[in-house]
Amino acid sequence: MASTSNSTSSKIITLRSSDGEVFEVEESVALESNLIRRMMEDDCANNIIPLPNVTAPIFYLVIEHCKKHAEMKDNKEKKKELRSQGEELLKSDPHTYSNLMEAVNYLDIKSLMDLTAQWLADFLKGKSPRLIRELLKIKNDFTPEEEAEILERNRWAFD
Amino acid sequence: MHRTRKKKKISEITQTRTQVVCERDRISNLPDEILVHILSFLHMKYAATTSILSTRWRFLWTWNPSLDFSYCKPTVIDRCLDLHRAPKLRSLKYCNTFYDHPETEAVSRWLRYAATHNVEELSLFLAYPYQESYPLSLFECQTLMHLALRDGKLNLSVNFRGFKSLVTLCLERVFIKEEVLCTLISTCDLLENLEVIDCSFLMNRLRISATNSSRLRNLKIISFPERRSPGTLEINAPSLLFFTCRGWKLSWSDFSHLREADLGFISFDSGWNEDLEGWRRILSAMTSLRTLFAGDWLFQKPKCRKHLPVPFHDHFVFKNLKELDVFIKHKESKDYLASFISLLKACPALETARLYLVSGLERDRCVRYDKVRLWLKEIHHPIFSHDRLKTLELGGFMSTKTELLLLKFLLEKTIALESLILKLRKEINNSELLRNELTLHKASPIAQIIISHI
Repeated sequence: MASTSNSTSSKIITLRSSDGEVFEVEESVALESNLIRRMMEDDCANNIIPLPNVTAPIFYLVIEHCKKHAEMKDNKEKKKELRSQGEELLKSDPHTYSNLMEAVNYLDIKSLMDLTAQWLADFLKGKSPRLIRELLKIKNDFTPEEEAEILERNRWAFD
Repeated sequence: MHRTRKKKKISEITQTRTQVVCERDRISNLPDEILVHILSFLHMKYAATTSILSTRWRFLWTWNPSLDFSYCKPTVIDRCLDLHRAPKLRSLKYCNTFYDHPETEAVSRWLRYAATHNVEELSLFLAYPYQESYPLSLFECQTLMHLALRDGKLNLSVNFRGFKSLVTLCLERVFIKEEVLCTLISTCDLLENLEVIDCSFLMNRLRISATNSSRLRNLKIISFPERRSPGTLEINAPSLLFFTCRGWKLSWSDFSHLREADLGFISFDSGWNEDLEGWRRILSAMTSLRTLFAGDWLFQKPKCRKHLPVPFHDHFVFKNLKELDVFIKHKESKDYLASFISLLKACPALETARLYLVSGLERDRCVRYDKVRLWLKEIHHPIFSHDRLKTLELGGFMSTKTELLLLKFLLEKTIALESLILKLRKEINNSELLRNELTLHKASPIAQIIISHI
């Protein structure tokens, strides 16, 4: 279904990232973003749509994943593959991950929001707090007493 | 021009000390609602462990609107609900371990909490042999959209007037009487999806009729006949599009709008298939189907017909059917492949067809080779060719003489075929020979013949 609608009815929409790069995106892909959808409905999308909060490399990532997400709709294996990609990204480049997450949130793309959230959720699952802090570069700003207290109170979760 | 998104602020969460957070810690700098959204994908145990990461994370987990308490101890759940701060509950999930039975009072308490927090989705799986009734506070959850219950007993409270927003109801192994289920269905006006799995202990005859199920689109109703003799099911739901049924005896029902049917192992009420007319009615009630999964019943001959194979093409046209799966379990189904070809002829729009023989068949001597050959001549006239079929998959094959005859016939007649997938039974090992022989007969030049073993 997705592929036929892409190939037949597609209008091209032009978007400009914060660092000035211009992207041409098929309408069906662009409309995944509720932000862009609203702008189109408000009829301010005849020209180039500016996206002041998204840089070119991140926007490129967003489009890539939108396309992949559309492809995988009925494909369980692809779904699994896409879901497992998060682990890699989070390990190698948590910085890009949070930029991606922010961009997805700004563009208001529900499907990608869930996918990227699932990535971090999967990543957090079953890892020790120490390892999570190390990998995501989270600074532990508790005093030892506070830490002991939290451990004591939520003991059930740490067993 | 730009409209900023409406965002709910969870102001209390952000603690003043988070400013100290090291600059490179970009994850913790994500807004609260994103982090809480991430936590909502986690089981409570994992969500709660994030409290130790840093001050920024300490209380985030208590704002999680989706609470997954599967296998948590009842005391833990009580404690978490004490700490919980989200104003609304999106979902609450609980299933117990075999050794950890919550008291009804505890379950009742959680349900009241869920009710006061406008819960939308509720899953309660109370492990067997938990056979107490679900507490009546369940019926206070008036904002419920999705409800799934497993095990336990379900009785309605006296003043229950229906879940007014309920869209999906799933019941598995729940002790529920048929009249209770009917009342439940008829009082939930928005119900679109209904699953009733293995709940037939107390049901002999279930009637789901149009007056109380006008919005019903998905219906899945499964019983296990080995545990209990099948009850009779009667359906009259005009908007039904997707229907899955196993282990029931189907009584006269209207399926004229049905788009997908998964009717694996069912039987029919005696009135339906004792004569040719009944058999015609069953199938002609399904003629708008796009996909069909069927078991043995499809090829069971009506009693009054002595001649096999089943001549589908003389009686029906399934003009919308695109995908067909047939699983045959019986040893008796000698003329399965011939009937299958007849069925293909009755489905001009078919693109994918699969035929699986689950227990295998007897050898050639049982299939009357000569009869099949005669019958093929018959089907030749008027000229039969199928111009839509792209994928044909046949499983459980013995590569007997009759099968080969029919396969060649199929290849000659399917002019748009892209792949023929043959899954032979383990003991058959002449796949190379078979491939060469079949290749000579294919009418579609692009058709690939793939042969493997089950």
